[in-house]
Amino acid sequence: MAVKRQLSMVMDLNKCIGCHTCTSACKLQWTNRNGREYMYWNNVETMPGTGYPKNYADMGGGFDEDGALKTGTEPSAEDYGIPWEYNYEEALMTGTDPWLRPNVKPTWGANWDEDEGEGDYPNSYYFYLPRLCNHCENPACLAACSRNAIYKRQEDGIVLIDQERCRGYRYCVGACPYKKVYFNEEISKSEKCIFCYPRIEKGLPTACAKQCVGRIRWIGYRDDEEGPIYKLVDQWKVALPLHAEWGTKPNVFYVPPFSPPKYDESGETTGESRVPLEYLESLFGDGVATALQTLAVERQKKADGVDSELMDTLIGYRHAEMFKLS
Amino acid sequence: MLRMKRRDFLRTGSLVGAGIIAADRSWALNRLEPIEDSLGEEYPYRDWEDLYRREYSWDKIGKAAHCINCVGNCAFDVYVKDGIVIREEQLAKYPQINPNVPDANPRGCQKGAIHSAAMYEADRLRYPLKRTGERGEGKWQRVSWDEITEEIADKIIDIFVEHGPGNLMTHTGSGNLSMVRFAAPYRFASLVGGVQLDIFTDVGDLNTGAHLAYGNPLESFTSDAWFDADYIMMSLFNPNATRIPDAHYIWEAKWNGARVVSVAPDYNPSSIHADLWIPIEPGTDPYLAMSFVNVIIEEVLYKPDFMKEQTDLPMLVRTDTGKLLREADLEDGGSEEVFYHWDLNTETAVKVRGSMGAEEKTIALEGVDPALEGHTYVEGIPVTTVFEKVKEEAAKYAPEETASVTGVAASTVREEARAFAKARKAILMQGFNIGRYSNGIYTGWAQALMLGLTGHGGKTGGIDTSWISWQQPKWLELALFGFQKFPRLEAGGLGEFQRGHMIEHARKHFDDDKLKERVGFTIDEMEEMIDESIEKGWMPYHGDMKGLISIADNKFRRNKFADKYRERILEEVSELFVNINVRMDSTAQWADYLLPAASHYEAWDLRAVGFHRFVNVFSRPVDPIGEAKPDWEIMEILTRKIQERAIARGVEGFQDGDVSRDLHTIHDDFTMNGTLMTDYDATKWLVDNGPEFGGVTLEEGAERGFFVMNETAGANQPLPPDEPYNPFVAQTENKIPYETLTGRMTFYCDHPTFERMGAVVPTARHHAGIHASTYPLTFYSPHTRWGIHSNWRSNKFMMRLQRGEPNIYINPKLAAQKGITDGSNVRIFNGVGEFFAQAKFYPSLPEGSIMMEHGWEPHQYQQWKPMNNAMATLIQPLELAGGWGHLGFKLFKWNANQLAHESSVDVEPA
Repeated sequence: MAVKRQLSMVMDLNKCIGCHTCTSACKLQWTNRNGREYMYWNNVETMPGTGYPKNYADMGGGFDEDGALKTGTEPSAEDYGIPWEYNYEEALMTGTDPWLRPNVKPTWGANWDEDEGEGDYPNSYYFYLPRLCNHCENPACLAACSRNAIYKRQEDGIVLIDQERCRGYRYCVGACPYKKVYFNEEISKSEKCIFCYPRIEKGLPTACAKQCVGRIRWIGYRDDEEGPIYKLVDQWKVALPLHAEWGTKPNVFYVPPFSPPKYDESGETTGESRVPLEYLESLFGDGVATALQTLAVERQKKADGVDSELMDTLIGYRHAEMFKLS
Repeated sequence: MLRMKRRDFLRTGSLVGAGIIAADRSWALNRLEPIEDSLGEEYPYRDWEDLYRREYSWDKIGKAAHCINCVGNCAFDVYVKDGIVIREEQLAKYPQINPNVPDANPRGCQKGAIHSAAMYEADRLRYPLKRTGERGEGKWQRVSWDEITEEIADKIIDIFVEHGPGNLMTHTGSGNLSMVRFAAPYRFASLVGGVQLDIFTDVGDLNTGAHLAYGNPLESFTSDAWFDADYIMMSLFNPNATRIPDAHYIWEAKWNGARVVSVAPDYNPSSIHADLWIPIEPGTDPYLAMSFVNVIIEEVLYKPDFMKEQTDLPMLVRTDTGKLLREADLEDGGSEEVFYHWDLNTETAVKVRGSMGAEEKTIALEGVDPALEGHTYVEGIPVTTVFEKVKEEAAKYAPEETASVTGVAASTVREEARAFAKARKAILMQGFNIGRYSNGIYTGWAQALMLGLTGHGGKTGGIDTSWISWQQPKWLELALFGFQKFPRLEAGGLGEFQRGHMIEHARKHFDDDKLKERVGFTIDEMEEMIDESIEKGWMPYHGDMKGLISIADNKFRRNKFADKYRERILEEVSELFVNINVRMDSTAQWADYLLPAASHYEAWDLRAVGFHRFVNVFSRPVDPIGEAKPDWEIMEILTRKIQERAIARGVEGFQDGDVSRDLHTIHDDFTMNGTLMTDYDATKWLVDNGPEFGGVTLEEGAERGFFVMNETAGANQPLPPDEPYNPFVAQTENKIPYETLTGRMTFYCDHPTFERMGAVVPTARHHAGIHASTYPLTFYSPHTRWGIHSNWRSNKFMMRLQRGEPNIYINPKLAAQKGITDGSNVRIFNGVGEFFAQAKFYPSLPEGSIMMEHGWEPHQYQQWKPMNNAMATLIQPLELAGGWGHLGFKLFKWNANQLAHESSVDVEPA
């Protein structure tokens, strides 16, 4: 690890309810002002889906097998979704417009394909995937920055764009394979999730994690063997990075989701999960099957009245203890 | 493909960058160049980091929750800078009450988390406004509080003088569920004798099946009591979208070993995490529940001990008349509310303790071993047991028979029934949509039977009705003027149906013969039963009004037959229409006078209604914007004006039945002779006097953000300080009778309406749907994750995470047949109305259904044509029953719902 310590996050997708409270918390904490209005540093996607920005996973970036940067394209404003304004005043207060509506015809937005997923009724499937900057061990944004204006903080591994040094070249925007760097046209600089370092420095978790009402997020240091990240990622190996093959070594990890069984043509349940294993593996890699197996075994222990440290961790009896920031 | 090593890439980039640097000398000069390795070494220039640190700053933090009808009730820190709320964040400091149960932190949702933005939006009401054009024209004049309240006061007095009491509706909608905001207008209504509709049934929220079975639909689980369940079944319930702060307990229960099953027509956001999703034909839930009952009985999965003690299943029923055997049948002058068991120990009929007419208030059997089965004679009267009647009915619903109705395979029903029956603690969760189906009462009743048969009650399970009513005597005392005078309470769904002439819509939409086959009654028969209920006094309906003071209610949004309903109401209240509101909603737009109310963060208040034991404090983090005022203060000013004007005009008391409506002392009465003048005064009075607060001061509560209610808050039994609250523990453990006619869980109802409808025991009926009209598509409108009814529905931050405008959900296969593409504009219509919306593809929806989440403001629809224009509705006659034990008008507990899912539609590209 290049930095002295690394803060990380784990999200249990089995508990994510797709409520977007994280997104809203982040929005009012950081991105409802100053040219950031269109950005969602944290967002929630319905998977399988186009993602946010639209089809970001096909836009390139990241590293190839030899560790070389791959070119990436910069999403358009439309790919992110235009933040519509509304005619509240005209439609409601003065009676001069006939009804309340957006100022542009909506054709795309950050959550446009909500709950859509894939498959045919009754075997359709989807789940929720919250995303933020992965604060990677090998950040493609950092590698691509010709100004060396992007750095990892030694004390916590948070990846930041120096807002004084940045010149807005936007190489980072295309280079990030997760498309989690945004260009702020108002100030001609790139901005991104800062892992709420002003909160972290006060001993508080990020807004998205603190305000997550599904209680799906854990934060801690990777090297803390008593902390939740080490337990879920390294000890139990149930939390996996998204698209590890993109080469950036993310520090955000996901517990892959179970799904209820499919039905056969006669309406009987089958033993087959709705979300195909191959699909989950395409996101989270080869460790998915083992992770799901471990989770199933440990859950059965609880059903049988036997203790399970893993399940107790995932239950998270005390919200404050889901965050270990020292 | 371009392939470069990292350093090569940097070099290329630097060349491009150099030109720009040269052009921007000011930037080039304030930094040393170059930096070697920003990955592996300490970055040298970190002073800039103060930029974001400065954005994380504020002047002060106040406390608040949100007082609308979501029942989440979540404590927030409210961050204030320069007198403006800049953001909010869940407090997340509730204590863990038991080390083996996850704590309640951090309750909240995305809507609460953006309220600070919504409260400053341009639709916020900031000043008192008086209509200058026609109603609804949108022309307003800003006037002073003094002037506007004087005009309103004079008009109220005019209505009393010209028409007498009972001509003013003072309805508070479900938008005011915090204690002071609720108490202010209810106290005013109590003083003037204003009409107040039941806010459960006027939106279709009442779980009548639970009341029928248990005698109390508001006795339920705190959400932390879900955690130790080992079997959870959700039906008509989508907590991941609609119980956002509570849902985690379900998925934590799953990690704790529980089996979680979701029954829903669509693969909804809650089904995705279930162990099994059961796709059910929309509206066939009673058939599924009865098939479970069938399996439980046929496979003898039931628990006789529980049935004998806790239910009416062993009670004797006359086989000659079909009535319960009553004391009056056997003794001259005997009670109609005392019943019999057949005691197997003595082989005699014995009177049952604990019924409404019994002297002994216990359901303990104390040596009696009541027969569950068999036929015999009591003094020559042929009798059997309720259980025999139940078995006879349940035999019709073998899962192999119901499969073609529900679409659920028999094997699925049998397996789940076994898992459910053997569970240690099984919870059947029912969302509020159960009340919006005409057959919801059948679903609820049959599910209660599933529980009653299998011994799931108290700490071993039950129905989660999505509502707990806490015991807060001083709150009611404040709201209902010390119980000396009351509002004119009215059956909610019935009142709206009658006032809005919704029967005209029903006649137009439904085919009477088909309707009778589906729901068991024709429109004429329904009308006859409505008239009977009103005439016999089972359900109160107060008729046409002259004036309306509408508080926290969006009646022109929520009512079916929408445009006609609005026209009818506006015609009725031609003399006065006052709207007290925080924003310009689709009801406010039609008012004569608009009084701007304080938002959640602008007034002192308390909120207890929720699924937990915490009373959250609203500490008025900021003063109201513009000239808005807290609801309490608005009523203080209004009553002051009424009193002043009444005295000036020489108007005194109006006799109104047993009480006098004293307009000349109304301000003294409202304020307790000047002691409760402000929102703070009322809040403090509640804390100082309410036993549930246990002597903790308001200052302490405001500092912490919440109170923990003590044991007295439990309405049915004490609220244990260190355990979750399970319903009906007083009945299962302490043998206190249920609040039902028989004192037990009720599965036999010999009320004439139930007899007429063939529903004396739990059974199955259809809702109206596609088979009762000529339109081919099922239409249902569940709650949304993006709003609480219409609250936040038009907020731009929420809209940007949706489609930006009202949308329907459609299966892509149906869309293809109809030539509809994702994102395109469609027309949804039937014979009674039409509306337009954007089509959103949802492969998890059955092909024959259109879904549209409810709550969009009418003013958000194209051409202002709301969904409810195309919604024909009915009244379920069973819910009108009265004069029978626990059946009779009870506010928030028993009266008829406004139904939402009876219509059918068609769709086409627009």
